[in-house]
Amino acid sequence: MQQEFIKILLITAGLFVAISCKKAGPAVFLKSSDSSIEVRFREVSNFGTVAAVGIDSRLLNKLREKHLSLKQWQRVFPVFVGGTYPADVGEKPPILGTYKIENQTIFFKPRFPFRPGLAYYARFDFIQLYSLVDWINASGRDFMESTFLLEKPTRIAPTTVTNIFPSANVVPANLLRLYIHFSAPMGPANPYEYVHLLNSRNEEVAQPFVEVEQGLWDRDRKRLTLFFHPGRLKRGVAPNLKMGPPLRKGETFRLILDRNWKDAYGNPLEKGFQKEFKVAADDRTPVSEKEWRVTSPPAGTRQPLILNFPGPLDHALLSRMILIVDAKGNSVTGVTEISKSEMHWEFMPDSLWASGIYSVAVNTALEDLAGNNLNGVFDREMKGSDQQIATGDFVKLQFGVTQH
Amino acid sequence: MKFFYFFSIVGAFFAMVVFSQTSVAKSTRNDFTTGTPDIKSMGTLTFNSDGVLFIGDSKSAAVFAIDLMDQTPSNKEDGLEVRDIESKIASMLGTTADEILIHDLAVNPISKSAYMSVSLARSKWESRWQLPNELDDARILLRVTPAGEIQEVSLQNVRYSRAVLPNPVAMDAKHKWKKGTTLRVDTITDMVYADGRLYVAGLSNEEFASTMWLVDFPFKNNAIFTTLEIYHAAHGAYETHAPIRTFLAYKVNNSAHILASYLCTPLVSFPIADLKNKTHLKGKTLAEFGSGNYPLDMVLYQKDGQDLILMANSALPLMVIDPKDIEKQTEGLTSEPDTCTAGVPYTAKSGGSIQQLANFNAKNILALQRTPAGKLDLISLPTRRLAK
Repeated sequence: MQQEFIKILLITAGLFVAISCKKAGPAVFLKSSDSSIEVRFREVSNFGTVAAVGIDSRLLNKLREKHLSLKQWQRVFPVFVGGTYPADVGEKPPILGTYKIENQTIFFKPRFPFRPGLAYYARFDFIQLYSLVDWINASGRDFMESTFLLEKPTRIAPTTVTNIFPSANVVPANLLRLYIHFSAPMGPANPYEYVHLLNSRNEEVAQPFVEVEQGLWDRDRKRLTLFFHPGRLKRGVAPNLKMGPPLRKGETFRLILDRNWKDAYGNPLEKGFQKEFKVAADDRTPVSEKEWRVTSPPAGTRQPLILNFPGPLDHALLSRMILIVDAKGNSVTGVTEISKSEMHWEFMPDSLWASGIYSVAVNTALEDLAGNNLNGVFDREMKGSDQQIATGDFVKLQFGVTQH
Repeated sequence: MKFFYFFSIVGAFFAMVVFSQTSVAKSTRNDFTTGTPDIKSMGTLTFNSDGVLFIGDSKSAAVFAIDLMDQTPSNKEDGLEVRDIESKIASMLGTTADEILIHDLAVNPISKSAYMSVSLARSKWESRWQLPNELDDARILLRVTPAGEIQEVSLQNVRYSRAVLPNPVAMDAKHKWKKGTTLRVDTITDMVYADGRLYVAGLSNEEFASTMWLVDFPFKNNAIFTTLEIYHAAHGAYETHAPIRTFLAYKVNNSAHILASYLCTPLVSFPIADLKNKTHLKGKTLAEFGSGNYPLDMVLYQKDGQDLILMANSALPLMVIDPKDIEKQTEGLTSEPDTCTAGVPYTAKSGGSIQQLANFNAKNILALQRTPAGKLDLISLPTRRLAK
């Protein structure tokens, strides 16, 4: 029977995965009713997900048709705080969250991330499941259960701010994003409480960033993206006219990160962080690949292909929006490196360069610091007649690799 | 939460009012749009008699009117009780009770569901003077149904409208004596809906920061404001910076007034007719109830056909105040009293450590009460036991 393979998995956040690499078990299973219950870790989200896998696909199809309410799901697949099935479910209701059926798996995603150090209990109830679809319970058991505890990560070294992008000390007044990179995963606190932007008179700029619940983090919570309020950057829209842009030309601003910002281990940063930058005029010109300098590598080596840009480009986009393609259209694998205030991009191939014609394929959505891309400027639709503007999803710059 | 009527409404008349309002309910929501309101902090909640929820968002300096589609009338006459409600909420949010912080409580007068704005910030507590909105922004909305079930209320794709408060206190203005607290969390300290209007108390960026905004509903983006001044008799000083902490709208001697209470507990009245745009208004100090105390909540209720006011406090007992005593206070307090209380008297009732009050039905007032052993209970205070 399919049901023999039903397992309750715990799929958890990248931060715990990262810690598991340090030989510390990311989750401890205190108890399970059945040796077939298995635990795996996958990077899915910052939340952690409990999943029931291997359920008979006919049953899953039936469940899909039923569009179960949260209450119904909580009867079939409840997850509780406390490590055991509660004596009184009325007093201790199941955790709120969302359920979905995907890839033959039933996922439960809690409303808030599972908290390290706290024991949880998940039950998959066959009796409830089969009675919901009016079938006879063919699983041969009443329920599966699992008690799990996310181990409180042990501190390795104090967390530091490793980078802030843009790395240049001069930015355009209509700067769109800032990226803050940390040496370790950060905790769940509201990041906007710990980030301050001060103008040259040492006054804090009110609400410079778009505030997203829990912040815009990458999967392993090591990179925070701060978006300057786009309404304040776009010319002519209400917030721009009313409050003006958050950064003003000619002034010097300081970005301050508080030391008491806690990492995923619950510890404050090693030290607070400051970055000072001067504000130049708005940048309202599209990115033009024609102004880039391409330096070709010699064949038979792994020397890098080098691109030099006349001005800094967006760090995160730069890391993924440029590909190297050979004459047959296959992409060349390799390692990229970004330096010199995001004005310099290098690509070192995994294999030796062969002689021939290659091209640099640039996604036209690649942006500069102000959100202008190869298709146009951030806050204006460009006219089709403008010759400078690339069309299509990619533009290609050809380069030849020859023996020296 | 303060939902109230200028006139006592009892029994059948109440039912009539509710049913006749279903058509009104639709018309006041005609200009609502469908979407997900961008609410940053659900610091204060109140309802109007049509079951429209008003959310005061200090961070955005805006008030939101939400159609909750929670219009099924309830004729529940007994009270509502949820013991150790923080533990129950914690179970649902996957955490422990010491994190759960309830910021405000309000009852939908039609469905009798009790709405609470909540954050996971209680463990950030540092000082006895901190109020919930100083710890974090409430971003979770829950309700307790009349049957006692707790549910999360989604604000995604709801019908709503929004009104912006002009001239709120600056985002970075610092509190004078509460370290690390910004005044912005007190942009909206309390709200009352009365006679087609939302009264919003809080702090503006004006020279006299204590402010009352008047926002017509349905919202037309024409909020007006008056800055307020009180004589804090116990301090022997005129004060314009401390905001109202809790208030009611009530007819005193047949004239509509705001009855407002402040930290260190003066009770002050302001004639509503004098709340004119961009003016400054001095209130009449009716009473001094004692120092070192936050007035936390006020509700108006009826006992034996008589109006009475119930006030919960952080460090003083639960108080019953008789509006007739307010009417007698014709001159107000104008000098520093020798005693720590003066003016309108109150009757102390058993019911300490009550943090929130909300009118529930004709016979009960809902309250959140911290028990001696530290748990928080949602309880019902029967009005029959709340005599003067």
